[in-house]
Amino acid sequence: MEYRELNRNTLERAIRELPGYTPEQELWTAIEAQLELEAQDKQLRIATHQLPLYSPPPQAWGKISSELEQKPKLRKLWTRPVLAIAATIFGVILSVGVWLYFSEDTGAQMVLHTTEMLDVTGFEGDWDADEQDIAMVVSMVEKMPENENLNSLKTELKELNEAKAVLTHTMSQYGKDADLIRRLSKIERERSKIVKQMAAEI
Amino acid sequence: MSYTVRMTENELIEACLSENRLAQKILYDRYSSAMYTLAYRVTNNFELAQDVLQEAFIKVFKSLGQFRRESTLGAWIKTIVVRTALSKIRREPVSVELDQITTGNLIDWSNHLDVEYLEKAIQSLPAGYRAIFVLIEVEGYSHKEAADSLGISVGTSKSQLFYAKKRLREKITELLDV
Repeated sequence: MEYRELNRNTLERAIRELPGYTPEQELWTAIEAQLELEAQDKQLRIATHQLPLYSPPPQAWGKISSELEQKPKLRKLWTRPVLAIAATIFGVILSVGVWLYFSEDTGAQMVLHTTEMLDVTGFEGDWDADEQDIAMVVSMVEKMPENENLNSLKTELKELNEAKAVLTHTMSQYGKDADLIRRLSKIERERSKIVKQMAAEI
Repeated sequence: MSYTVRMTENELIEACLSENRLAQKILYDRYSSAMYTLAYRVTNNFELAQDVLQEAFIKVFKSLGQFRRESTLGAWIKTIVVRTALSKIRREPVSVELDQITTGNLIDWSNHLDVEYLEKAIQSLPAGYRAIFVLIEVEGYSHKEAADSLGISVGTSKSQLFYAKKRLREKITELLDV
């Protein structure tokens, strides 16, 4: 664009004399604070990049790999909306049907069966409660003249006493296992039976 | 302190590059008034000019390593200030009220121009005109430099400067008549 300017030097002189302005003193404080923040961020970035790297233990991949091999990929069954809607409807119908069936009085009896494990450790007896009576019977038998029946009973009692000693020792070593308690109970019953037979002989 | 004040431009740049806060303050003090005035002339708003100055100096200190010393440090900082200031005013529409500008291709500045009136007239210019007038007539940019900074063609820069001057002359006349 072509144009002419008369007295252009007047404009140039006036421009040179235009006033200058000075920013507020606080502006440097603001700039300094921002520079400080930038410096801190820079330090943080440097420190972040220097953080140590950790490698997983070698068996980690082994576990992942074996899991990947074990689990076959599951197909997404309900990817199509139509299938998802059909499945939902089927589920609702099934639920209503089940509810109606069980809510009707069919006269049929329902049998519930549950199995509970009994903690036999709470039922252990005081195995030595009758030892005094047994000892008394045995001492009386010892004073009697020997006969075959008594000798047989004494041998049987001796074997049962040894078996009891082994079991009680095992229980003191390895704890009161349910099976051990059961076997000890059986031995005690046998011992009572033998002692009764001995008493009958007296 | 006195040693630091007597630093050459290169020494000052090196000290600023090593994030010497005192050197940064000296650099700021050296250029802050000129850059603040420039920011104000472009934005026509003291508050905005402060924002421009803060933003520009942060850019200066952060990108000082990219200064290739192909121009003076002042010229390089001025470019950053101008770009920052223009980015603040770009959203304002550059209104070309051609119908309000009298026709004719002669502008007579007369024998005397009151600086106070010139300042007021510059402030009254639309943002686009004001920017082109400040960059070319006050800051000494070429049309090419101004056009690049404003993202316009050289032809547009030339025509806008003409309209800016016409508008300025009319405004000064108005002020004289009041």
